[in-house]
Amino acid sequence: MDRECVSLLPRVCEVLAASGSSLPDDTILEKLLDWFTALTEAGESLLEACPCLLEFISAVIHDTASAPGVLSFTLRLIGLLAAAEDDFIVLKESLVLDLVFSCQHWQELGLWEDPCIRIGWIQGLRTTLQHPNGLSFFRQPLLQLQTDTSLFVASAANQMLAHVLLFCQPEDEQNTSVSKAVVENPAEPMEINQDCTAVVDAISEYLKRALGVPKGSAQLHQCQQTLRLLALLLGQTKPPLHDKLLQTVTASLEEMVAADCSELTLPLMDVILDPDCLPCAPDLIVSGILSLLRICSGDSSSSSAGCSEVFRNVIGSGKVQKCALEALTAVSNSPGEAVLHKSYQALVKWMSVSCAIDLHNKSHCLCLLDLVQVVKKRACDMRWEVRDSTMEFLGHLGAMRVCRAPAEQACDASEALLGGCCCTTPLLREALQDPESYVRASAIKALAQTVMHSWQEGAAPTQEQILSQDTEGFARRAVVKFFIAWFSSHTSHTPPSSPSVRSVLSRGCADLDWEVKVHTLELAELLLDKAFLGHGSYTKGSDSLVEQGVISALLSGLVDCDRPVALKACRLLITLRVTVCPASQGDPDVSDATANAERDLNALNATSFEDHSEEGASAVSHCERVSVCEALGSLGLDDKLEILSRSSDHVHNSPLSLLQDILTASTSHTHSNTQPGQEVIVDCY
Amino acid sequence: MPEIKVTPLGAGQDVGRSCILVSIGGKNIMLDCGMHMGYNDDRRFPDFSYITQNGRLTDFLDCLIISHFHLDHCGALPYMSEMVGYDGPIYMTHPTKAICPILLEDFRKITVDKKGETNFFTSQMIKDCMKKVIPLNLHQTVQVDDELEIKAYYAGHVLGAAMVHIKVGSESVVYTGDYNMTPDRHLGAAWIDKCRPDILISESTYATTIRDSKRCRERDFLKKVHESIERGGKVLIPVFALGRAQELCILLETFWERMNLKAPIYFSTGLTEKANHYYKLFITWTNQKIRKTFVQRNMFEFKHIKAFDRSYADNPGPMVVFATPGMLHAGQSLQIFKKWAGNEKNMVIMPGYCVQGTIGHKILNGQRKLEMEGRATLDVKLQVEYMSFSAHADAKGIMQLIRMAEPRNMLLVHGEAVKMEFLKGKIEQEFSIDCYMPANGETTTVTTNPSVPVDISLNLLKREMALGGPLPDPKKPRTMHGTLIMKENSLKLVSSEQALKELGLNEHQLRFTCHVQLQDPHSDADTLHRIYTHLKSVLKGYTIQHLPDGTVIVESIVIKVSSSAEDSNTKVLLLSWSYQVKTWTLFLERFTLIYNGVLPGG
Repeated sequence: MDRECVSLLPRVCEVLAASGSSLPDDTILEKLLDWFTALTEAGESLLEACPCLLEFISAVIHDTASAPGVLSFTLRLIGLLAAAEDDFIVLKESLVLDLVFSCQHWQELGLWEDPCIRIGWIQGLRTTLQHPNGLSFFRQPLLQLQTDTSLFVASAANQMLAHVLLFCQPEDEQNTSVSKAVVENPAEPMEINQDCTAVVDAISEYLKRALGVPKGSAQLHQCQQTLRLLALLLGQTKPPLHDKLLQTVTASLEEMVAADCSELTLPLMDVILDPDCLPCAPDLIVSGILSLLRICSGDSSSSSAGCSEVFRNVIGSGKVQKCALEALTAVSNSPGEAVLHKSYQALVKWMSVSCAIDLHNKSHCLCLLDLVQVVKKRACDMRWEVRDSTMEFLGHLGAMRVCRAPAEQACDASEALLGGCCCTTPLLREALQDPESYVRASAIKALAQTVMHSWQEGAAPTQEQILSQDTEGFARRAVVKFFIAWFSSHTSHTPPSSPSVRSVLSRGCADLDWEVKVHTLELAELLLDKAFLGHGSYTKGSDSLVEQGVISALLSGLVDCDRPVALKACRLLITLRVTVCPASQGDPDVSDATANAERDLNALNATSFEDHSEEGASAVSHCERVSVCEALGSLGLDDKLEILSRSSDHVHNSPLSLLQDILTASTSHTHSNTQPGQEVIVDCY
Repeated sequence: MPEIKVTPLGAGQDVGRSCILVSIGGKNIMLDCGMHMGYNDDRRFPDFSYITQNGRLTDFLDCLIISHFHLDHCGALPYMSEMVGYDGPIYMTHPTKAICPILLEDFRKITVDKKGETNFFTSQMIKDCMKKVIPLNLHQTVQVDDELEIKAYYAGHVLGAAMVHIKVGSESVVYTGDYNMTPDRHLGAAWIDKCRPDILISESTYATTIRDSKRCRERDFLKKVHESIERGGKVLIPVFALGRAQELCILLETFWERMNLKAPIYFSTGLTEKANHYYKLFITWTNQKIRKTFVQRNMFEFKHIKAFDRSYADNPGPMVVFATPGMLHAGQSLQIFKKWAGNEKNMVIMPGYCVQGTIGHKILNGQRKLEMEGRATLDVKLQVEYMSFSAHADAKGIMQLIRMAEPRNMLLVHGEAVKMEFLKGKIEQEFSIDCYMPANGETTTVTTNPSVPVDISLNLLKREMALGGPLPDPKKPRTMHGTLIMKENSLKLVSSEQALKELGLNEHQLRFTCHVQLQDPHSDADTLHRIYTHLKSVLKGYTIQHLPDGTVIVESIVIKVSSSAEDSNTKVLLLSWSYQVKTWTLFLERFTLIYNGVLPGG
């Protein structure tokens, strides 16, 4: 544990014990527990490292004026401590455990009514039950708390019961957590085994009693809760106990299903349905779903007569359509969302699994004609949602390879389905002017997916225009990605046109959107890779890098206030350093590279360098001629990388910072009278 | 009795994040789906496993309604719809739907800045989620399904904020979200119909405060900014992309114009620009003044406020900069703060609340020496000011809304327990209605008396008037007699004659008989006579006849006496009456009299 934290903790404990309800933020107790938990998990004995905790516990639990929130925190802290067997013994000997885990004690104090005390009690007890000694604290009220008026308490009780049962699970003779512990610590094994059996019996008996057709609202609540517990248990228990549980409850479950009580349908489904098992063959399901979808859209020709009732309820039902399409997507074995969106998704998924589209087949052709009509119509729908889904669909098709017929070459799916770019390209082009930026972005993305190189070259100016003029980040992000896709599909090592590259990089780096900047750096990375791979010499490589403005992009990224941008730039600069500055300086190539880099550095935007000198790299000055290796070395990249790789709030969200905040708040709280009107009110954000 | 249940998963006795489950008339509705900024893990989102396990949220919930775009009300939306898998209808107003993704993107950025963040939604998820949203218009009733309907009302607070009236049959609930009962610089005041909901669920952020007039706070703010600028200082105002930033911009813009100030004002981010675009687009949602002046000049076309470039931070001389994020977590606002913190001429104005774990929280607590990354420390010499510009109803405003809506019950959320307790007392005292304040996870159950509307025939009403004087007075209820008939899904109260006519039925009379045994040694005729005399003495004003065939008749009741076959002392009384409610009650009352009267007399 951090020494500074250890030194602050006693005072923090004092503040907490005396705080009442005046804590500065509702998250601090949780965060303190997080910290203690992390320490315990790292194997530290908390009581040994911070003896003040024992005093704190004793002060809080014996003070009748302690705030419920602090008491609840203390109960959970005790549980955390007691989870370690050594600390358990210390706490047991100081009689703390017997006192705090007796719910009667809290009832007598009139505090049991407060749900946060009950939650603290359950959770404290739960963490205590990490070793067999803890089992002796298994208490009957847990079973009653399962139907507590507070949802949180009831749920915590359910979790707790599941935890206990799993803990006592007699897997195979040798391997249970309890029996293992017994082997390691043979003291009183009989007693512990008895504890275990007693606990399992008590819970099974309870399950059996609690399930059945409910005869009132209290019983209904109990049934619902117990079904939830059962679902939890059946999901986690292993064979002997799993089977035993099933045996115990099967009759009650059957009875409940037969009683058809609507309030129990959902929890019963949770217990009965196993999500992974399909009830019948996929083909049957698919044809079933398809006829259901036909009925939904009003086509009743394929179905048998006599179910007009069904028709009335199902025709036009968006809910049924959504479910059916979802099922269809699921059956195609991929996870799968408004009806059109889902239809597109389902279609894309199905295309990817059933490859063959036979253009010589008449019905297939008719079907395709329909699709072209639908896509054209939907591309100019009033709702941006529909237009966007249509653009996304075109993008997905563009990315998908299908084989038209055995003899023909593979092509993208949009070509096969929609007759290629003569149909889709005008739609996508038009969508570039869409008033909704989401749609513009999807159209750009779809264009990037079409692999028609010649067309992409033509589209580049339009894309550049979007990058410089579009007011919204989504479209600009997509443009940079467009260039990435284009350049990476290019087989030659020199990108198509250099002026275009330079303007994309400089515009991208100066963008207001952090993701545009990150994507721009991804583009720079691609160029970096190509430069060094293609030329085999650093000279030509770095030449082109300077020309393209890759280096300035990296340097401006390094000082960006958006962390992901700075981090990416830092990593790339390190890669660059590793590539152009090998350990031995004798290499002629390196000096060439250095000379080029010098030129580059001079050409760099003065502001980015001024920024650097401020950031501490004062050795670099733009009027001085320095080698690129020296320049890269002077940026302190390794230190920067270490900082940037950590969370942006790692200093202010640290345990030390938390302890300091608690202490500062307590002193400012006592002086708050001096500054009326300065009270910080918790409100919205 | 039908019940309405309200369970907060968030905002129950706290101001963390709003997420409230309402069960009404068999429908389950989720109100708001907010996130808590104070956590970096799943605890920032509501835990839906309390409601259903295995992600069956769509099966359980009938709809989700988002009140406004603040993250503590909508921040968990993509999590719920794209990660937990809720696929049912989501409702919010048009402006909220447009602005929500901006704030979600803004927050996603802060999150990406923090390493070790797990389980957070992507840009694609935000879009996919927004596609599922069904936009609401103010005062337009939207039918969620055959039974459930919702209607949005103007709530002030922020652009697009709405209160919502949820109705199933005759039961209804109003949820306010965050609201403001006094108009501010860019928004109007909340308003609702006298809709008399069964429960009014109201926020209570300022439950105990009577806020000083907004003008005072504005004057104060302008004074502070002005002083700082005058002495050559720079002013940093950390904000979230939308809401307060716009209000403060209008404030500064008009002040700059009036005072003819030259110091530049900047926005640090493209987001705010986009936000301004939405304020222009949704001008009808702003207040009257802005709408009026719109014809000459759009309030959101700022003359003095320009886009910021990071190189400007080092420019000499005074300036005002709005920068995101609002709690000085990271990014632009933090970078500028670090640059300016060392100069006592500068100032930072925090216009809202900051969670623990942020620099904003630290400086508001009065910390002056901040530890920074890379073991550096930062001396905070600049002036730190806190000015809450959030637009919530204060205690007076909340009472005003209760008067407007006239709820039968009140339920407080989105406030601190101690303050709620105080307001609860006030409400119960002033309005004589029950006021609830459930904690998170606790369920409040309110039983409702469903009122069923019934038409009444004019003839019946006239007849009743003739019988009982003037027309019914709501303060003096009185019983009316008629037949309730249901025709074409509507209920009608008519006279029984008319009911028979309308339904084409014939009149039948039911007679009921029963036998009662008595111990009486007299002869049958004597017993009957004794009964006759007794009835005559107790039932004054009734026609009682003793007929020669051995029958006593009281109104429609016929009484005969016979002896039991086994025991002549046991007399069997045959009672027979026609079914008329009045007679029946009379009979029961009187028979008790007979029974008690005859026997003791023996």
